[in-house]
Amino acid sequence: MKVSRNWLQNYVSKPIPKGEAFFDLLSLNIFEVEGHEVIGDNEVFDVKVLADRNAYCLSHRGIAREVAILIGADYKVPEFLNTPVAVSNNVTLPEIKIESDICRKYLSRKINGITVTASPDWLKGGLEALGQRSINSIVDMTNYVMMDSGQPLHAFDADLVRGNIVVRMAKEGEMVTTLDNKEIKLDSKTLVIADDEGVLAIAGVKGGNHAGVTMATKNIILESANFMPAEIRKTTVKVNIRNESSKRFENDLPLEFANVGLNDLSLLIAEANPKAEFGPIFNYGPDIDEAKIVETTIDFIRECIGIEISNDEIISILKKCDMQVEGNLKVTAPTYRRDINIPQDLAEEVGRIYGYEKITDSKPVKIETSLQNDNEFTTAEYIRDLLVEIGFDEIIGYALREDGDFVLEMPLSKDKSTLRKTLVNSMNEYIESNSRYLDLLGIKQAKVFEISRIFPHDGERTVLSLGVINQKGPEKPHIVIVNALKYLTDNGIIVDASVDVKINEVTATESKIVFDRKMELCLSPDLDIGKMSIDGDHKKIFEKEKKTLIKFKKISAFPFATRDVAILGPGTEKEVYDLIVDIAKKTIGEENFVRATLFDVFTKEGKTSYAFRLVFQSQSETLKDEVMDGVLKSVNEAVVNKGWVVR
Amino acid sequence: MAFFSNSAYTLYMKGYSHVMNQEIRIITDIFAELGFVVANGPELETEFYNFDALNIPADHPARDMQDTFWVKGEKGEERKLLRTHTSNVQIRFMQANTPPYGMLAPGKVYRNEATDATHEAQFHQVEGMYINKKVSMKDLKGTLEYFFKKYYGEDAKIRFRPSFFPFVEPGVEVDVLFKGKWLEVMGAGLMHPKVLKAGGVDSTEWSGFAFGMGFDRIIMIKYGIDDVRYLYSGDLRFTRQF
Repeated sequence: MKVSRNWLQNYVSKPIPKGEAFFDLLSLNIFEVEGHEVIGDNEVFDVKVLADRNAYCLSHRGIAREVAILIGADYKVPEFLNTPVAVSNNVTLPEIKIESDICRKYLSRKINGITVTASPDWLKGGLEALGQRSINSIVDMTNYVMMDSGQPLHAFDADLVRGNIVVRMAKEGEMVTTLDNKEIKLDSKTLVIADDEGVLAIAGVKGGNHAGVTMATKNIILESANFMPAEIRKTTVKVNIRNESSKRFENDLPLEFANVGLNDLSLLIAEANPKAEFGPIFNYGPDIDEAKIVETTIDFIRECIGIEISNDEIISILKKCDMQVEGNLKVTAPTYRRDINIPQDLAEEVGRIYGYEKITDSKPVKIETSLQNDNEFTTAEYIRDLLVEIGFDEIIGYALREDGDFVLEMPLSKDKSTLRKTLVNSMNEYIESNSRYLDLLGIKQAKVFEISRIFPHDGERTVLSLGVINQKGPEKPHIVIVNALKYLTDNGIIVDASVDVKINEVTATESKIVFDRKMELCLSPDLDIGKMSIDGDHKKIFEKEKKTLIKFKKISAFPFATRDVAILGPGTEKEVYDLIVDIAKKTIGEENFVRATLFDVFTKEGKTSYAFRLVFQSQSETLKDEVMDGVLKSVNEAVVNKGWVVR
Repeated sequence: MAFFSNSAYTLYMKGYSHVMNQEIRIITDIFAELGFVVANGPELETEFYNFDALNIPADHPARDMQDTFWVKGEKGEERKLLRTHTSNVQIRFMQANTPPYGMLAPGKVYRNEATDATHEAQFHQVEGMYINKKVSMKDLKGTLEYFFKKYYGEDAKIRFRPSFFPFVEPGVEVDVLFKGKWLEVMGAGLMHPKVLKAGGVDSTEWSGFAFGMGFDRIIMIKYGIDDVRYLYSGDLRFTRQF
């Protein structure tokens, strides 16, 4: 909620901190503060009120209370607000009937003889600083009082109300046109404010346009009410309207705010309309919630926080929060606090106000246990280590796909509308994508595995999926997978007999996707890790790896390119490699040089030729052919200079 | 990495595990030193274990805090969803074991959010829980400090900021000082008695703390990864950097 510092200051007996100091005061002790605007000598802060304190803190008064506690000041209400307007018995309100328990409280009064104008600067500016639009003087005053006290208020044009007022359930299919001209069809579970002929407002949510206040309005009826939070929430979902009013009602607004709201609004209207006459107040429902009592001990509160806070300090903090404290320890919470229910709630007040930064010298907990790590986790970790050792790379794929058994109710898109029931289809796609980058990665073969959950109809499980792809040649992908599974079973992975791990050209799944015809691919079926375990006698011990912190290199969106060069000469592989890389980097720039990979070695008559594939890629552009040809030219020149031969 | 092998195929060069799993291993190892065991739970979960047991009833504004992937089910069946946090494992672990214990549950979670460079519908969380007698915020702070010093280095500092989660009370956001800036890294607090009850633990005898961190963000900050979608892209150009 956006709050104005000057506005808060009305309620706090000491100067409120400014700028960064305000940020820290609130963020470290109650609410995060995001966003900050300086307007003249004032500041507007965006305070992130926590959900459990929405009931009493969605208002300047509520936040001012908390600020006062934190800076050791008093919360004080300006004196003039304590004298209500004079009541005239000449002003008669229509009859009001409450026909549903969903309405917990209803206050109303009629005011005759007002003039609706554009709002004065202080009112307009005050609302606009909080991001609220100015409408007219009356509507703006209701919003102002809501932002001040937390109580949503509504005004009807009294001359447009037909007959008497009833707070009732809507009739099934009953229509209302809202103040912003939306036509809404209501159902019989929605509470409305109605007159003899139809709906005046969707209770707690939105006013109708029939009796809306306009510049022509002379007499008004005010409403200050309170409704069951769950019902208002359901209504907002049904009619798809959420606003500042509905938000406060659905967070269980305290009953006592209704009187404050009506009183303050009446005073504001009286000030702007000195000749107006104020009728008596219709009052339905209890004026105040029952106070909540929480019984615990001071020791319990201290133990929750875990540090030495004195009894006096604990009691002092609770009293600062407007709580009554008796004995050891019976605490009566103020009636406007919905969030004080259990002893832990008291511990939170003490902890955050005392300051969590005062918890120092803390040690970690430590526990002796005979419990074991989850079996699946241990098995998966071990399989991971084994597969990485024999050259497999791990991916984590996307669980949402088009081809699963379980369907989402509200998917983000059609191709992500189900939960995948196999890893094979996604492995197929991922490995095919990756096959385009073999040269860039400096590998001849992509060996990939994934360990993830799948969601087939008969039950969620964790499975292992393997995929291998390479250019057609002597290395057969399905043999690689067969060997990989053998490596697992040779090193202590026991697979339940019901799992089919025979991968041969018949049982393996071959890709159905059209891809580079020069490639060969093999995919394993889903291998259920839940049906695997580790034979301790054959388990390999892997040393803990020391990781060096790398900085992630952005993956370029621009295409990579390759050039091959074969060099015959007395030089060793390392000498040839060093020369090529050195020249290439100098010519094209180190940032555009990716790698040089040896792909062929050929020895004849005592001389060895080494063939390298050079890979180039830029982060900012597609490298031109001439540039790369230029690299080759430079390499060739350097080779010739050394007396070697370019083949 | 061997550039100089004679083999045309890189059969015997080591592969790369996924950075997420590397980091999860680091975390589980650190907590193993304290006696925390690794636990698991379903990703396709029921409404009870994901919400109700964690003190998040239906029609409660607290449900607004998470966008849920509800899964179409059979009529009359309990409502199913993709879990929105790893906190479901807390309840299941409590039901299956007797305190005292410490538990760590890493895993995938799902939120119905539009995806962009910093938001994915699928991501990882690591959940922790410790139940014993008279567990305090000081125990929580000490344990988290131990963890973050091991993970980020001895200079790491943490601070608590008051916050609200329905399943803990008191509740805090935990910030860690990393490269001179305070970063929000996890939610934590003392377990709410209603949650202990849902797990079958007597809250008059036992208490506990719990924490949960969104792990993708932590990894992205640690390594300077600029787009979360890489983590689930299946792209070896990503995997093979770590």
